[in-house]
Amino acid sequence: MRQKLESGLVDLRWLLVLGVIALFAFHWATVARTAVDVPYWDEWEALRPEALPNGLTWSWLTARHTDNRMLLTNLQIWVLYKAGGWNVALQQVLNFGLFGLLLAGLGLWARRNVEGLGPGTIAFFLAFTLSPLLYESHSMGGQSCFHLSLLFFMLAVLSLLQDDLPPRRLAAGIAFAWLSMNSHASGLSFCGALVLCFSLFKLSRLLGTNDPSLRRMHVMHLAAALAVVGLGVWLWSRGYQRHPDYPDMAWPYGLAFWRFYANLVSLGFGMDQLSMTLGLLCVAAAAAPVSLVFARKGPAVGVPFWRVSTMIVGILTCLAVIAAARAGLGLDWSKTSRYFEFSVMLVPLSAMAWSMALREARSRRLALGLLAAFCLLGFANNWDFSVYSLIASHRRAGLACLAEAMRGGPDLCKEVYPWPLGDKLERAKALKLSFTRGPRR
Amino acid sequence: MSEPARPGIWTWAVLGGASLWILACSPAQYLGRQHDDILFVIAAQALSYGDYALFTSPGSPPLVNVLPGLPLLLQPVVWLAGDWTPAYQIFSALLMAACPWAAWLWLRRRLDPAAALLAASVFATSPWVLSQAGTVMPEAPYTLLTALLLLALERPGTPGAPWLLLLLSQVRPAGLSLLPAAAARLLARKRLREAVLTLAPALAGLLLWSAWRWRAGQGYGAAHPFPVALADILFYLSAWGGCFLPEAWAGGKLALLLGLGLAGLAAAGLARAWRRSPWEPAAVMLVCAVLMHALWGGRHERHLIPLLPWLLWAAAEASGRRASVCLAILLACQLGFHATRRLGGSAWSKPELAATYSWLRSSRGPADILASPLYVRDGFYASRPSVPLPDAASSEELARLLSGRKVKLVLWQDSLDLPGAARLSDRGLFKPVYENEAEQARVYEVLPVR
Repeated sequence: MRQKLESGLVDLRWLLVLGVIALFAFHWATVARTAVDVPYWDEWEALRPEALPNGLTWSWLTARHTDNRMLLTNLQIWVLYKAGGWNVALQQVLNFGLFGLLLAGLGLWARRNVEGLGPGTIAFFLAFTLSPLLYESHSMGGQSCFHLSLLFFMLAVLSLLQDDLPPRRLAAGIAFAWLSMNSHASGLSFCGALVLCFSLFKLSRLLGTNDPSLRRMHVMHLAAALAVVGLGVWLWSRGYQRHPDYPDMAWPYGLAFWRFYANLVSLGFGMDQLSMTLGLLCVAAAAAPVSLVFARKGPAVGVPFWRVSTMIVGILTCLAVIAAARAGLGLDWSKTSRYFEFSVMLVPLSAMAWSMALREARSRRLALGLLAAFCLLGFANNWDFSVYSLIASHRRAGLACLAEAMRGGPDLCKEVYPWPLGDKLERAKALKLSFTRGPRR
Repeated sequence: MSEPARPGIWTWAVLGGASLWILACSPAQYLGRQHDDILFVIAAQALSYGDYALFTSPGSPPLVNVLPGLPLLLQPVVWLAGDWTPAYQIFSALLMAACPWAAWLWLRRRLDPAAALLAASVFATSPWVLSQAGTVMPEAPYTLLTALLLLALERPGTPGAPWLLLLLSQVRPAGLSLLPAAAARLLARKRLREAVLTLAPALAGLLLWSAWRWRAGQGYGAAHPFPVALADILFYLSAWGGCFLPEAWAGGKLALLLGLGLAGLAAAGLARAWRRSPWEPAAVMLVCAVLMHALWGGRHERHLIPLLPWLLWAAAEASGRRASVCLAILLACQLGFHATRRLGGSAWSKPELAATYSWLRSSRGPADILASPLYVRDGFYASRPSVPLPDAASSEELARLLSGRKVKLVLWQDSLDLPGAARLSDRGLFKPVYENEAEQARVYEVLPVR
């Protein structure tokens, strides 16, 4: 009886994994079905004279768009242009695959390194990242910058935070950190948190050994990472000027910051309502296992937990920077779809952290059960995929407007760009971009 | 302390029935009838938002008179239900329904099984308890948490006592009486460090609350001990005795005598408990709470709800082997005279000014500011921003104060029996625009001050 039950449970776990894969496939198919080949809002910046029309140049790749340097996204646009006139719909489909890669990487790493977290449980918590709450990122080709920033951050953490760190791995970790910084401004927050956690990690290893050569090695690793990443930050910030239209920064000593921050974090747990107390509970759910383990074990914390903690600290830091920069726009902005990508990562990461923090199987099951129930409650009303069809109809209307504009009509098509397109449309025609070639999806 | 009895079928049946009875009487009062209840709901929503202020009143004054403990406990209701006010009453009803169980959990360690069950039942069917069933007031959570705290204090090494103490001191000011209860035995045994650690969170909480109130410009008032104490003692004794007498006799001399008798029994029981186990937390709590309520200016029967299980325990202690018989008699009297009063609703079930509120909503502008003695309740039901009716010596002063706050309307309810109706009699300053004789309510428009 017990064997039958246990094998039944095993089957259920793999059923969960299959279910999440199916959900991913369904979401991908929905994005593919509703993607429209037309640039939207910020994507039109690729048609500035110094950007795509000027060819692949280092200055375009490293150019700043508002707060962001989007090296790889610009490269992606250039590659897609060369391959087929920059089909924006194809870019969206590819981006979803990139997002899937990020989730798969996180899931596989968790499976191998997190004790007490079976494949079904990992899949369950990863499922929440597939909510259509992230419609904004999945319906815009240019949002690959978010996925890349997160992906390279994760890779940097996995590369740098380990006991045995050969020079190859160190170089790779630093390179990933650079790429994260130069994919999206969030990478800067991630790298800041990474540098902090890497320093603390190295310090803990320094304190844990009396071997002079090992100590020297740890110091060198730390110095190298600090120097190179520090250089990267300095290069990134050269010439940076805050956009004049942005509101004043909201600092953590003010209530406005905490209200925004708490609501931003709670968005990741599916909470649509504006509630600071609920948000602080979500912050606690993510931060508590990190605090618990470090308070209990101090410098003796193992590498897997260091990695999960660094990722959690990185995400929380990134969200704090967003809160400081955007709180002045109003509390409603805390529920902006694209920020969900960062905050939702706290769900699987919290599950991993709690699983590693609690030694007893019963406590672990209770904590994960409570987290699961909490997330189910939050996400109960967040599975409406019809949002993509609505977006598609707007984009198609925009495409029709653009077709009219190309025939000499007015060049203001608010469905896809809030201001008159002017020369941008001319350059698009000159480049023979995919969407200018006639009726398409 | 005897080994606790395991719950048998009768325990489940009796306590389950008691809880169901409480739920059946819920809500005993409409939301807002006690004014404080609607304040707690608003405070919970304000706390959730992150700005602890009365957002229904112009200028959003800080909620300096509403301790954040109950609003904090109501957070899950805010998160789940938002503005749907019945959810708050349902939650409160469930808390009150859990109280007989919490009381029994504590009582079963001290009394024989029958006495413990009877005491919990007397508590559950008390007219005080039933009159507060489903009301969004702090007495139910306070009772529940007090039972948990006393259980935690009696098991050394149980974590949570300091945090329960913090929560209790933030749910009701009466929580101050629990501080000596938590520390007395530790101090008597010279375990100073443990006592400090136990009290630290609660004291820190009170300090922070006081600092925030002080920053908001609010201090603490002082009571006049002796006149207040006598009036309070007589009030509470009479109220307790009245629970076991017919309603018609509830406020009279017989009720006072019965209350005195019960109090005497409880005092004797306390003394006995003290001799057996000095500095027992429950005994210290009871003594401090009785002293506190004796000196407190505000006098309400519901204030004794959180003390009732322990008063019954003390009375049972004095009764010795006859405890079950005495409790059974009390239960029979209480059930017979009061238990069915709240079933099926009462005059408190619906707002007594329903028609007046309806007129205000339909006939006046949505931004018209309303002033009244129970302004939060009235503003809530009239769906209008509201401010308190200020104290003023004359009609002119009242009109000037109201005009300064841009108040358009004043709602006066005769049945509240408050002084000051004469200030609204000047027709040059206050124009009557609505009157409802059945509801004993009048609405005045504030005219511009000449």
